[in-house]
Amino acid sequence: MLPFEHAVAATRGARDYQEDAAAFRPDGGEGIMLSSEGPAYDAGGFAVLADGMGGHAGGALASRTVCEEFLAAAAEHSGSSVDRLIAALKAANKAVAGKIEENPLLAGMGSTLIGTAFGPGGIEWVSVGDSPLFLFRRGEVALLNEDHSLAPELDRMVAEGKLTEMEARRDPRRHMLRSAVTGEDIDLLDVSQRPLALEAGDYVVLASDGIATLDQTEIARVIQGYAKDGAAAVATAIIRAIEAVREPYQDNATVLVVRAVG
Amino acid sequence: MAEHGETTAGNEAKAVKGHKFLGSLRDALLAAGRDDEPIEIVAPTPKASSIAAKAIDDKGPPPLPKPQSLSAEEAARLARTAPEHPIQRPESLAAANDEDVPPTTRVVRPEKIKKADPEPEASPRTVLVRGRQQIERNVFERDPVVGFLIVVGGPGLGSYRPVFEGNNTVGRSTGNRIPLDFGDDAISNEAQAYLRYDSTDRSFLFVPNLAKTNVVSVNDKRPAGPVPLQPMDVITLGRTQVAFLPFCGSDFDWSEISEA
Repeated sequence: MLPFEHAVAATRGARDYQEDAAAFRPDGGEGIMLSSEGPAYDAGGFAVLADGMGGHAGGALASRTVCEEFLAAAAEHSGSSVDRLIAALKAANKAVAGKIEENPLLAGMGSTLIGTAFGPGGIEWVSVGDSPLFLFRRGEVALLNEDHSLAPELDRMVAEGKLTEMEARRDPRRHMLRSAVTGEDIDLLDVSQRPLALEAGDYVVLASDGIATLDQTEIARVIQGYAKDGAAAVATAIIRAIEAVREPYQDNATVLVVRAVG
Repeated sequence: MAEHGETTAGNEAKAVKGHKFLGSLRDALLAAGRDDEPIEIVAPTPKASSIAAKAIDDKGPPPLPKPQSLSAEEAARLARTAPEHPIQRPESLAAANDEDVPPTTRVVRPEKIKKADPEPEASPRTVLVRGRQQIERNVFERDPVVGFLIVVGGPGLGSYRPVFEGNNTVGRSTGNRIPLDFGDDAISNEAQAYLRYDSTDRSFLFVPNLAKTNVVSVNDKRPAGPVPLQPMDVITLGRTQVAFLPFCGSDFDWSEISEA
């Protein structure tokens, strides 16, 4: 069997639009825009997930543009995985700028982006914004990338006693971003410093911040419960778990799940 | 009756009757704690998996496949730390030189945000210690073991299960405090019997659960009520036989050394 199995699942939550986009492009293949397709197997490639912002049309357009451009550019460039990831991110950013130039009404649209390279050496990533990238291994979940929202800042204030945990959780600033792909210079970006070697049975989950309805231990529990059933089962299970919470203002949530089959 | 009367620092070394190996354990522990030789103590791993840190986890011989490879958290940390030659980030991406641009709806510019320092991780290196060591003995990280059941017949032959302080349920499912999950389906799933260690009188009591299908026996007797257990008593449950070996008892109890 090929080493990576991947699948996507998504929910619009309480919104009537979907601003998330996610796609996987196998090495040497075509990018697949995934909505909720069954699992596919590949020897390696690039996965991308974007959470758009900027109103109905803008947000969805931004995330789709970013995903398409990212995968196209990642395939075009050669060099190390990290070089390709960063080049692809720049291309995606430029594409957003291009769209805004074509239609100035779109100004202000933007997107988060997680781009992940899967290969025999493991995974590498580049990330801008607050879409989390998780690694699941033997029942535990760890966050791989840096959160560019104000949430870490709020959590620090909780630790210092300036806010209660509940206030911080409800604070609207939680979803404000310090960095995003908006066509302008990117303020902060997070890049893996070395490849992370995967083990058979590991799951890598690219998610939009709608997954924050579940805390990390719940995510670990859900993945653990379906780990044997494959990426598609895990992806659907996570989305179902989010929907089951029935959060009244549930944001769009999308997960792209990659399993190391080994 | 060897007494440790002339230990140099003799402050805590109470004379203990040494006729059994258990009786001298306290002495041995105290002596080890006063060693003047440099001792190496391995630094505790930063985050033991707090989720599954139940004492039940440390059941016997088939050690859970806990490979020495990295945990999720460790792997994440490694991938986030730079190798010797850090990756050059393109200038254009790292630069934040557009302070005059008004922020978009969800993006805030970072000028007023001090970056939180990444919390210093516990050093992964072994800590070198010298001289006398204070050895922690007042906080149990898991339930203290007071004895063992060793499978001497039937499925799982040669395995053992720890007996913990207080009440222990013995049954086939892993939810029991003493799980006999070696594949003997003649043992009830839940609580076929109870094994109790009472630290006040330091006694072990075996209590069969009479509501369960199969009869259990202790040394070929078929008790209808609680029986005190003696070392090397053999309990038969279903098609499995276990021998009982106490760790605590008249010579030792955890209360003696957990100075609290």
